[in-house]
Amino acid sequence: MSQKSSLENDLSDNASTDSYNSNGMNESTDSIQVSIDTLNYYLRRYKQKKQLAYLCQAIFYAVTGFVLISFLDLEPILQYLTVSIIGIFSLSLLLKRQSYRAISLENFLEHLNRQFSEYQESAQLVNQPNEQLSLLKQIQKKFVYNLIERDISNGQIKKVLPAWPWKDFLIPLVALIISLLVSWYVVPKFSSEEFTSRNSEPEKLSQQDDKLAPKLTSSLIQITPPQYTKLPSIELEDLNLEILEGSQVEWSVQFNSQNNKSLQWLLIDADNNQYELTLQDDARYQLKLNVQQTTFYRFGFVDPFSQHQEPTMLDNIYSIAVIRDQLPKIRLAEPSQTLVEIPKSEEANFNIEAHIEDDFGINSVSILASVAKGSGEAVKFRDETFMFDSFENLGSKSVYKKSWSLKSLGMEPGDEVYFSVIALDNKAPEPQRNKSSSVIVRWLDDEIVETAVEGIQIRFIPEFFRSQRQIIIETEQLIADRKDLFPTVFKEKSVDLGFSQRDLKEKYGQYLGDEFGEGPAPDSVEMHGLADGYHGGEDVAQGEASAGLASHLEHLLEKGDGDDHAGHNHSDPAGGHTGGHEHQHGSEDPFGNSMVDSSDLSGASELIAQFAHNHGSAEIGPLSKRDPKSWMKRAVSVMWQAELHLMMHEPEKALPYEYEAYQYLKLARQAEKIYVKRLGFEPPPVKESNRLTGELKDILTYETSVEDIADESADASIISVSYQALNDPENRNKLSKNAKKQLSLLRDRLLELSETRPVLISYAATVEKVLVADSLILNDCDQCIDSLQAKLWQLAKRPISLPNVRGEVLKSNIESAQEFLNNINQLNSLILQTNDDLGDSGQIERSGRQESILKSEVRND
Amino acid sequence: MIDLYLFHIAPLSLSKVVSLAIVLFAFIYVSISLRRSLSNKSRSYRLGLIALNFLAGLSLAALIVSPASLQYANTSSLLITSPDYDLELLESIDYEEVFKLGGHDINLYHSDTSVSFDEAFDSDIQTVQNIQSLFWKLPEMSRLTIVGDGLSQSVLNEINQSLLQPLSVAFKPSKQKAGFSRVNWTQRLNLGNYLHIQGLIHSTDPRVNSVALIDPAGDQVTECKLLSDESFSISAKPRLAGRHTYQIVLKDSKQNEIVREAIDIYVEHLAQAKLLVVQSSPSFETKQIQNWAAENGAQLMLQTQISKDKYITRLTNIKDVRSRDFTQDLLDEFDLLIMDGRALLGLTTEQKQMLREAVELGLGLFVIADQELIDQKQNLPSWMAPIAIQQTEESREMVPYWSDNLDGFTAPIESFMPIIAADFIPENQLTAIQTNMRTLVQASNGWPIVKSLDVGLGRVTVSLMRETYRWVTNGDRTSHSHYWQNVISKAARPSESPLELQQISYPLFKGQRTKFCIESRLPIDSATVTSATMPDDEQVVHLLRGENTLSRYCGYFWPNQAGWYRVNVSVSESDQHYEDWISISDNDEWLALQQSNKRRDTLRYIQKQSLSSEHHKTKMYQPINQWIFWWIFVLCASLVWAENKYMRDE
Repeated sequence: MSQKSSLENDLSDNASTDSYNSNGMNESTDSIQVSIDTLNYYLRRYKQKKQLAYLCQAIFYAVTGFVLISFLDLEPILQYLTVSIIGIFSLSLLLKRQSYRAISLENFLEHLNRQFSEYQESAQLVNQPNEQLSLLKQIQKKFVYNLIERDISNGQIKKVLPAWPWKDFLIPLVALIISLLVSWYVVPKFSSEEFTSRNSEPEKLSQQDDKLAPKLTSSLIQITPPQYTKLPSIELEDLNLEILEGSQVEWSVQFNSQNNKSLQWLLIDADNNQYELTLQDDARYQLKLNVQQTTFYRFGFVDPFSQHQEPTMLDNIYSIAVIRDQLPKIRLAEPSQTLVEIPKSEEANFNIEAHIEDDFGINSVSILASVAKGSGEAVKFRDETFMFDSFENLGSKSVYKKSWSLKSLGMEPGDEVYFSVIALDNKAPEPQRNKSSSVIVRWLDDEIVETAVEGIQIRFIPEFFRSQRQIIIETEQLIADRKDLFPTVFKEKSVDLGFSQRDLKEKYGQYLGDEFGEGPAPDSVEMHGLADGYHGGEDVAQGEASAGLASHLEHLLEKGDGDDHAGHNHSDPAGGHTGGHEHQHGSEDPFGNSMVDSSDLSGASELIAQFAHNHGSAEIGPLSKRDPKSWMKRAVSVMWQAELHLMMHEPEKALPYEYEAYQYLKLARQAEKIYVKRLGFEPPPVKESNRLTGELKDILTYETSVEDIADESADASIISVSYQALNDPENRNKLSKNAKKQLSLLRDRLLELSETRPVLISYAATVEKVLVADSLILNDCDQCIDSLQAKLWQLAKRPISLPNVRGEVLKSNIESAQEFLNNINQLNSLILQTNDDLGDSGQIERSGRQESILKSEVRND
Repeated sequence: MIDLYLFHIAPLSLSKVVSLAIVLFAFIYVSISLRRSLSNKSRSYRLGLIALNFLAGLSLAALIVSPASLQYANTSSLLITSPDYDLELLESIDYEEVFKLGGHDINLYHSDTSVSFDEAFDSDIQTVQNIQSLFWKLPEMSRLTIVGDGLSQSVLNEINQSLLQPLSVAFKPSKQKAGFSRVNWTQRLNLGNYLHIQGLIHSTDPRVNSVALIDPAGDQVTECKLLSDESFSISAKPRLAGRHTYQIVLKDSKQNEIVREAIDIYVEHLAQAKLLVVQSSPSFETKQIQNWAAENGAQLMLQTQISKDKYITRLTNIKDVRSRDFTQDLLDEFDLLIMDGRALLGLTTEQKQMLREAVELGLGLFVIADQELIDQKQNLPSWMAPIAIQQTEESREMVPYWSDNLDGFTAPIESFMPIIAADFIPENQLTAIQTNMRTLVQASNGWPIVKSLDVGLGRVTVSLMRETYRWVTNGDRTSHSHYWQNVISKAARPSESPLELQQISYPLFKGQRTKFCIESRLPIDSATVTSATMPDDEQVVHLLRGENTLSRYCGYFWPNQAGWYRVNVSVSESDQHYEDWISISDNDEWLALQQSNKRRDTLRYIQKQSLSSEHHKTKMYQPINQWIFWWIFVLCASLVWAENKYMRDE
């Protein structure tokens, strides 16, 4: 519609210019004008098409530019600006093209001449005014006009219009496709390669020959134990090793970089020692090492043609746990007691039987004896070394025997010999030596000196306490390492501890006259079993029982002979009476204590004695804190339980009993201390008036200052801080600097501890993996961090309670409370003043208590 | 609104009224014309046609007004179960009664898609995931039978809110699950404090069961033996600060594990105390206190009198103090003042007044009783009078008991301690209440050994034990440190904390709305709660200040997964941040506890409601399907047209 109206307008505008023509010519001019307008219309449409095409091409170019700059990591605003500039620039360039600028009516008419030969090259005449044309040309103009009008009517003109310029799109389209391909394939490959190289720091190898990153493809480890162990060599594929100390380890590994033989492959241990692997003919790399200590290691390589001479490490870390050769274990089967007393009247002979075990073999066994002759200050000592008479191999242990005659040692009644067994194992190059505990053989003479039980206990107690403590420490370690040890090893260690506990129990039992002691109990003490008559729940703080116990203890010491206590059966020696026990009640309890009060003439006590315990007896009476014997008896009875569970490979159940035994032994030690009142001159108490009147000239300073006294051992600090670092979610994806520092310290400390506890090496390796990965996410081990945390927990000491204050949020009206207090004070003052003013009458009192109530109410509010 | 017994018509708009009027007019007109044009037909013929016309008009009117029909004249009964329902229990329900009372088919719903009912029930069984949404669709429900564990209080409340009338519930509980039916513990601890876990077990083994506590390393820490439905209390001391997970295991008499649950705790370092010791003479007691406190980072100032007016001062872990003299400045700087009786009584009047003011402002005063305090009790300051001591015949030895929490006294180790020959004066009940007098340590027979009372904002504590150093000399540093930590935490001035997350009752479960409150004396707007395992799971919680307690701000969040959530609070108009942790358990944990809670809530609900035989009649209208009316109209109109076309004589 608009085109038609514009044509009409054109027509009306042109009509006035043709006033000098004839009517026919005017009509003709008008119609020609219409045709020209139509042609102009077609031309305009074509131009618009062209502009649209150029715009589309500019958009293509802009998109191409956007794709290409997207991986340049520019700010978004810059990206959009760049794209806009590219688009506008492209468009302006296109619009300036000659092909576009040449679009005009004249060229279009020329184009028609080319298309329609019948126009006789006269189409351009229709655009020229008649005044400029000759008559012939006017006629020709009329002729060509008719043709044009005909072709307009039949649509031929439209057909010869240039088509949509599809070809112009070819170049920008191709450019866009290329840019898309580049962004999809080429750029990501480039980016990922750079990421890999940044993280694992590989040397830029010549990628032409070896396209894969170097890694281990196969491994074969040959382990040759030391010769003296007589163990065969073994071959493994697992690179995590558990070997004997001094073993020869031969690595034979293969990497995927066989085409690049210039690479030098290394083995780097925890101390950063580098060992070069040698390339063999079969393209495998080999290394032989003699391993003496627990460590972890990695493989790495160096490219000699590269400027980067630091070794490039492979990701995996492997551990070597070294098992130490154990000391020979010596157990004296005979004599079983520490002290053997041979009366003068008996034959002066005794036998020694020693059971010796070693993990690999015994080299030599000897007896070191020290003979003491004389007494008092005239004692002389003579040391001699003896060999056993015979030995016998009984599977895992050897039994050594010797019979001795005291006379052959040159001894006389009254002399003593102290001997111990020394065993050397077959460890090469230097054997390990172990020595048994000493045994005392005393040849008694006529003058028998009875040693009080308490005296003997005092002499030996410190040693025993250390032993029980050591059992506890080793049991705790065994429990902590349970998951890391093989079941057979775990059981062996548990049984070994059980034996130690048994030995300790036997030693104590000897002094308590325990029934399993083979030698006669000391005459001064006649104890009958581990009968423990403590009923539990009784308050022993009253001091009543202790008095009774003391008297009965003296009675027992004087009595000497004991009575048969076979009928006295207690069900739970550790826990007291639990029922089901049988007693033989009579005038005396089974321990020979009289339960009858001789001063009682009515017979009541005798009646009672038939049915009751005598709780004053040391054996069945309640515990007293002042009786060492009763504590030791409890300790020995609890040691039975501990030994039982250790022998049954249940150290967790044994541990509470071990603690209990240790506690009782400590209490026994405290109980045996006798506090004697100081005799002699006792000065009168200082009078208060004389107090604090001394001279002060020796006081050098009235003020001292000590800082940083907190006793925080390095281990506790390292473990605590490292644990928190492992727990911190901030370190999950990337370790902080502090965390890295702490974990490095932890790794070093675990390496040191792994010397004595080889199981810790795997945890040191875990820490190293965390440091290498620089995060808490380990790809090859999901549970490693949890296991490491659990181990740190085990290594941490039980904290003692700290001097903390409680945290409280003071209420938001604390300031108003403060004001209230101030107001109360002011009110008090006012009241006092008012009282003064008022005199005796009208006194207003507020007691301090009421004031306190008010303040408390404020506080609680 | 028009109710027509079985039908309900909504209010009509003007257009509908006009439409109805047109329909009515058309009906009347057609009826009249029919009557005229059918005058030659029989009456029944005419009536039949008019009836058809009437039906057509009626259906057209129905299309206009869209009536609804009354669906349920009586209430329906609903039966739901929980995953562990008991088939026998289900069969024990009297369906006759239920059907009779309900008057309609019983609908069985099940809350667990994995469980199928016995086919013998032959009912329409449907499963739902969300019980609450079920009741949104059935608001007319008024009676519910539950078989199984029951429903929690929050679910019952939600159901009630979506119903038109209160819900009456019949409950058939399933067998109680074996496990921990009740448990509580304090999630946030100080390093060096004990973790106490208390609870109740249920076991199918009638013999002695055991409850064991496993530490984060997997080692058993402690164990206690008990029978089913007995309560237990176990403790352990965490070794390290941070977030830890203990495990609590219930085993039967044969040591077979019945259930294992996780106990999450958060151990933090709290502020160390600042201690001031003023003594009239050196003592082993204060020496050991000093050693322990100093070795563990506390700041200490020890003043020992060596002359009438001369003191030896020792500063430990402190660079400097404001004053060396007994002044207000000095007292304000410390949290706890430890004195012996003689030193206290030796203060001047002015100094006593200063001490009182300092205590009223929050300072803790700990007095180690001695003979002076007994002999000169009349010279004791009046504000300490309620806590005075008097002579007894002789000194004693007792086993001291104290408590880490307020639930009871325990003696971590039963060892005797000498007590001086004194007792606290009999307390006046009223005074005791007014001054918040408390026994901090007592003997096995209940005699107080250490007592405290409040004076203003502070506390005054008197101890009859003078020789706690014996624990140390006996090698028992654990008891010594535990005792003094307990005493200091209760007697000393508390550390000011601007913000504190209030203790939450654990365990909390995934997918359940969780409330937390923060005590704060600074204004706070919101908190951010982020999952530790999935940092993308972050929720901003807007906190509302409590109406009655202006310092408490509470908010809710929905934990989407189990594990730790970090609560980060920013103080308004300040750079201060506060961080704490909340632990969320998975829904398949603490099953016995969840069951126990649901049973309890359901039974409580039932106690409040009563199952009456009268059932509320609920009117529920269901829109009638409009196609019916269309078909009727089309059919009737077609018949009328057909009659007109084919049956009429021209």
